[in-house]
Amino acid sequence: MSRSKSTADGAAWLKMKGPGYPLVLSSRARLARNLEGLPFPYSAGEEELERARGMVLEAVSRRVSSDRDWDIRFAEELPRDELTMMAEEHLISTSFGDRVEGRAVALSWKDGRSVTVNEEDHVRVHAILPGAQFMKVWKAADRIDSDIEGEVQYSFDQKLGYLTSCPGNVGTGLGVSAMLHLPALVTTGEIAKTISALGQAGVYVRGLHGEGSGVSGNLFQISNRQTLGRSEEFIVQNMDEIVRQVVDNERTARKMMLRESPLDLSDRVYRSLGIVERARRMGFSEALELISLVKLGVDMEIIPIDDFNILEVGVEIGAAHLKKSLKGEAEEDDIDSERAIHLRRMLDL
Amino acid sequence: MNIFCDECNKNIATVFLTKISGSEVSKVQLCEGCAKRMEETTEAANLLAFLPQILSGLQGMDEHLVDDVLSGELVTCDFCGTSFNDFQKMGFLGCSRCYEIFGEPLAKVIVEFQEAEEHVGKMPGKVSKGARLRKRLVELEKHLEHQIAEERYESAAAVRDQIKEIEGKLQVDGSEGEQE
Repeated sequence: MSRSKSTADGAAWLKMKGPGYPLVLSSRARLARNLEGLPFPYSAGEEELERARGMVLEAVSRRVSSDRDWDIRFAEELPRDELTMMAEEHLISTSFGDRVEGRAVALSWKDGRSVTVNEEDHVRVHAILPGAQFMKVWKAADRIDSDIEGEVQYSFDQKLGYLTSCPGNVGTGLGVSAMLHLPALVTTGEIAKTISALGQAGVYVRGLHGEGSGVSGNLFQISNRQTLGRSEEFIVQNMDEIVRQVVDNERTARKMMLRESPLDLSDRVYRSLGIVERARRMGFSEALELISLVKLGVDMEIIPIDDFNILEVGVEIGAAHLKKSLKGEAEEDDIDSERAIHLRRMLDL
Repeated sequence: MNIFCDECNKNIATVFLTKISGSEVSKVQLCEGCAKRMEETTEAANLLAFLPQILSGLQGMDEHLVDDVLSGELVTCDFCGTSFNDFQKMGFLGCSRCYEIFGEPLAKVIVEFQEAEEHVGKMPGKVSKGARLRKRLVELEKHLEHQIAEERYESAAAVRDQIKEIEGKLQVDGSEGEQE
């Protein structure tokens, strides 16, 4: 099998600006499916996992990955660092590499499409694009899903729809999410209202990599909670509407900051820039917090530096990406120091 | 300015997070160690958080499984060996059959969490035409309710016409027997 293509070109979608930039950074769709007649991955034995992997990968290589951009890899053959790099590029989940037995991933690096095998469900189809393009990512995932379905039989129940390992995904198995940059809502404290409204609208709010512990860099990932009793189109359109509202809130908060406390705003932005310019080592989440405010300053034309994509910078300063650019063994200190250097370079400081 | 970790107050904070719990939002700064200790949550955690509340709502339901589940009796899937207890702990089912075996208690969990009972949307290619139309009907009826609630009467009328059309088709199919 070929070497990872990510290292050669990087995820191309990350470098693009989509609709809703710079507040909506990416859209993502996920379809969860399982194979009929086999236990779900978490309760499957080694042999059953192998069987599921064989069936899914055969379907993928027959129907999906005919074009050259696809790369199929067994998880146990992937070095840890490469798995982390994939997670940093949002192509697989951060927990994918925690258990590698029987897992595999098929990736189309350039355009952000992927199929993971034997994670929480036998099949998880993902598509990701820059900006607010929910209909497009869903359709891209749907096409891959239909292709795979042409070769295998999925667990499907007339009443409950597609059966998933967690009943929270049953029905369409569709998760649609958006990555949003909301620094003004956080700084003004208005985010609390937005989050409580989102909760009532059946929307989850999480951080950059869907982690539960918190949000770094004012980067919020929001996704639909319900997957049953709503059609895919409804879920997609609903996310689109919700994202519009959140983006409106952020715009209002930015105007409010500029009107009511312009000195506070520029002080925050310049302090962050000052640290990025001078610091000689920096942890990941601190870096994200700082460049988030620098980015706010760029968006609002407070500081005269060139625009940058915070998601792209966020990927580049991930530990695995930095380790790769350092070549060879690197301690945490080396990575933190490299991160500070890298940031200055990326922001042209 | 405090540079120490909010959790241990000993180490210098290097992880800066906006924490969300329910609708409470707060800024926290942590050291590497404390940040790692703060558990990572999976998607299932969202469901798990709801479970106790949903299951306590089962009380008084007239079904034998409910008593077993509430009293901690082991209810186990005969295909994969997953028990309802496992599900309560992890948030995951073991196989398709679990959906049948765990019957009413699981159905209740699904309805409460999803706020819906029945799938609408995509179906595998092999599903019959009649089943497809019936799904479409459920979907349209829901859409109709939504339109009426939003006082969009014109589009509601259009949806009603579509519903009638499908009901007509279903009747014809029904009298001829289901085919595909």
